[in-house]
Amino acid sequence: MKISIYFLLFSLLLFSACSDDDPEIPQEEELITTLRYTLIPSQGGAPVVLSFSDPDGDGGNAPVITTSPLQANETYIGSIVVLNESLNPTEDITIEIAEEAADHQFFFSSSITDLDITYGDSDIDGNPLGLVTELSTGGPGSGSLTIILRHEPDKNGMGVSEGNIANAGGETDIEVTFNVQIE
Amino acid sequence: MFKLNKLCIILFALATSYSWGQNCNLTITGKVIDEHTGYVLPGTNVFIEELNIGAAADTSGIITLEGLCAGNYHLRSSHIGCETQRTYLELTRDTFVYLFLHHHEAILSEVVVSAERVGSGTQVKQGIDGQQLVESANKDISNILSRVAGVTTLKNGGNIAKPVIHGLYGNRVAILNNGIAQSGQQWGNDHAPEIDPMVAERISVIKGVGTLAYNGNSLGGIVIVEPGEIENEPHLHGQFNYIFDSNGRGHTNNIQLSKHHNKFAWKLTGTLKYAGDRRAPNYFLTNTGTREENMALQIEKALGRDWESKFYYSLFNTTIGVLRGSHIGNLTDLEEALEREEPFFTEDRFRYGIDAPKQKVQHHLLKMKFSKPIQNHLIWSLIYGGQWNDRKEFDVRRQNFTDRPALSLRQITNYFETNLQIRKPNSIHYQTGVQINIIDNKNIPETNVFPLIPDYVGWDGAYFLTVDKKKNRFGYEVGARYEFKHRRVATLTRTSPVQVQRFRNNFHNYSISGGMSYFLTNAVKTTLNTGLISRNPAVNELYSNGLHQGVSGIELGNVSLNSETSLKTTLGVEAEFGEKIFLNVLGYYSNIRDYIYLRPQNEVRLTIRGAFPIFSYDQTDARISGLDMMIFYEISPTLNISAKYAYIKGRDIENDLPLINIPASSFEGTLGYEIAKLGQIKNIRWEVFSQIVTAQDETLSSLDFTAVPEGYFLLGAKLSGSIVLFGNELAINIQAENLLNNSYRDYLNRQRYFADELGRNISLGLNYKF
Repeated sequence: MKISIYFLLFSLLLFSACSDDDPEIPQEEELITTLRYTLIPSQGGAPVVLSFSDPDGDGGNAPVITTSPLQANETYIGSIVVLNESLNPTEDITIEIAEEAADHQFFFSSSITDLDITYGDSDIDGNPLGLVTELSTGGPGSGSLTIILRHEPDKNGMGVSEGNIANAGGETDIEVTFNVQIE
Repeated sequence: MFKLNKLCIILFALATSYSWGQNCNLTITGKVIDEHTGYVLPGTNVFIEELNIGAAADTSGIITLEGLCAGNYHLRSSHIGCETQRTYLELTRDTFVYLFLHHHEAILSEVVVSAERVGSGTQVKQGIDGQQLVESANKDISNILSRVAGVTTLKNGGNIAKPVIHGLYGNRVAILNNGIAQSGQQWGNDHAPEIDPMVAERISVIKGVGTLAYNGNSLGGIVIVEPGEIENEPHLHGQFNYIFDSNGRGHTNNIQLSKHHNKFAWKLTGTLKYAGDRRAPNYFLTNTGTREENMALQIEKALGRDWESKFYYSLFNTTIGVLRGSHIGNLTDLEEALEREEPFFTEDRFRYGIDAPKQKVQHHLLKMKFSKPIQNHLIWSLIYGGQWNDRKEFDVRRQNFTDRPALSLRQITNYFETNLQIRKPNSIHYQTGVQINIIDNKNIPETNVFPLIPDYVGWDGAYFLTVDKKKNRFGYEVGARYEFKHRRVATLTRTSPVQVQRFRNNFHNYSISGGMSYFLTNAVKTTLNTGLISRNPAVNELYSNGLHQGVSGIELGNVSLNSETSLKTTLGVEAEFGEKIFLNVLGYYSNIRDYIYLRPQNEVRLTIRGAFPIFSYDQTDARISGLDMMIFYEISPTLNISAKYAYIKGRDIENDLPLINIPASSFEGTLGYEIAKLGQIKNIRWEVFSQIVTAQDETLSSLDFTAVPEGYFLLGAKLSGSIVLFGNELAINIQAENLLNNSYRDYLNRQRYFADELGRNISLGLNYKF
């Protein structure tokens, strides 16, 4: 019948193949899996590394957190490396953060009162970034150290350039907490 | 299906004189009837445009126009409180015409039973149409529908809304666009229906279980979008609508053109919307602009001797900005946002631009229907519906990724139906059919993000039978539907290396419903409807896996979910007292066994962005009950009041806890003042309306991130009227919403965590019919 032919023809217009193709596995190029905070003692000695690593991203295996003790009454030069280890080869996101310095800022906070961290770098506007820092310790003790990376913070917000996160806004790209021992 | 449509004029040609030459002694006799109530409308003015003559209907609603020459005429019928109706007539002999008028008054059309009913009318279908729809051209479909008592919206800011019917939404509400179940990413609470309300002639809801003849899950209710019939007019006619909104500086343009020539009729609709940042009373809602470009083409053509074909194509295109300050990275960010008066990233200037986060959605629908009478009263139809839904969501990402969507889904659906209808007058009506739906949902690999919803393909097969009968004061309908659903899903594991996991599911859904209606008196109708309906778990409920950015929670599907089954009963009373008071009350009670919901788990997942709470889909037994009430009282021909009230309660009866996302009680009142004519201005209506929404105190604080918002009170006003411009009617309306510019937040708006609702909006609307 003529009408059925029309009907079939029209209906094939939008027809798609109902196939069981394998879904494409996304390359999570933007993913951050690893933060490594390397602290080099100013008076020499072995560097201390605080590391948070979750190579398979959210879910899957739990992240691995490693820390080492810090020396009391010591000053360290700290540097942060941010990686995407889900890709092969590993992507170094630190470079991207440095390039977009004006849109990023690290914030540091610790439950140890005499642990002090100051910024050692800045963006083109002279506002801090935090990839390079100076960390100084007081007497022995233990507590937590939290490192936060904010994307698009308001760097002109009150106290933000001094490292106070309260008025920073933006989105959190990284928020990791380490248990720190000061010997 | 035979539809009593406001545009459908039944012409009974009572041939009394044969027309030859220029016969100038013809008579038009008409009976003017209220489309809703079926009552005659005495005093209606019927006017022949071409001749500039007219008459008023007598007490039995009859008009007589005598001494007319044969010719083609446009009759213009106007009655206070009704929309002016234009009717085309080819006068060759004495003619008797039924003129159906349609109340343009906002609430009345919701209070009074619609002329068009489902089956024998054991369900109440309530909706928005006509002038009311035109005046809402600046709103989205969900906000338009929320004017019906018992319908609310689940929002994500001021420009994304989903309809909520008696507390249920998303996967549980079917949206029928021209009879085809809308196919898209309905699971998302921030995914609005991809339909331009301006393509519709009428948008309505069915709150009970019914209409088993339709595809799509209707456990929670059905939204029906009807483009309507093309007016039987051989001349090119149409209308143009324009609305300006002060809040968001929005422009809405809509044009509708139609023509009916010989056996070929067409209607073309086009809508353009352009709006920028909306404003809460105290600040701009930065990045909440909207763009919309929509069109629809409707063609009706007779093929051969008895085939009738209907062709419909619609395109919906939108870009929606999402409040910049509602994009957050983790729970700490959310907690900080909750503390703030004004959202982060609020700019102190207005912008039209839309940046990330934003949504870009495109939806195509192609429908074809062929029908043919096989015997008397037996109609055979073939229906095809093809849909293509493309959804891209853009997040704030690092620079190299800003133009890359974080979510990109394409869903293609092909739907086939064949059905038979037997509609013998004064006898039992039967409707039966077979439906096949083929669906292909795919993540477009451009996101560089693990998908929340997996790829899947599947097909559904369905069979239905409905039977209804109406006899005198009594009507009944019963129906049954069986649905088989097959899904093949491919998920990705979050292990390294990543693996593809395949699932095959078969589901059987059964639905039965029964109802009856009974006229206690001519003016009081009662309806009782009960339905049992089952719904299989949707793909997101089974397999979703990932972070839900907006609420900083990880949502996990549950592969061991069963189907949920709802038993819902509605009892309705519609009454009219002395043509002065119209009342509509609907009570409902539903039990949902194995109700699927997102349950917070007592664990968190540690990620590099901190710890996130985990939510996983689970089942319980739920009970939802409530009451919808609407009343209209015509105090005098010029003064009227109307009120609406909705009360709803939802409980998890297994654990004796409240259900989440159940709307709070609300009350709406309207005071209207009408003047038929003042100088050159006609149909003047002045309206003051208010809305009171109570706080939702039945929630569990442990299930929410912050306290439930307080109740609120809103006030609005509207002034409308029409003038004649170049021989055609130009309707003008000025409307103010949230007139007092109150700051408030609504429980069912996810943006309540970040910002206030919209502040005052003054809109100016123009509607020109030609």
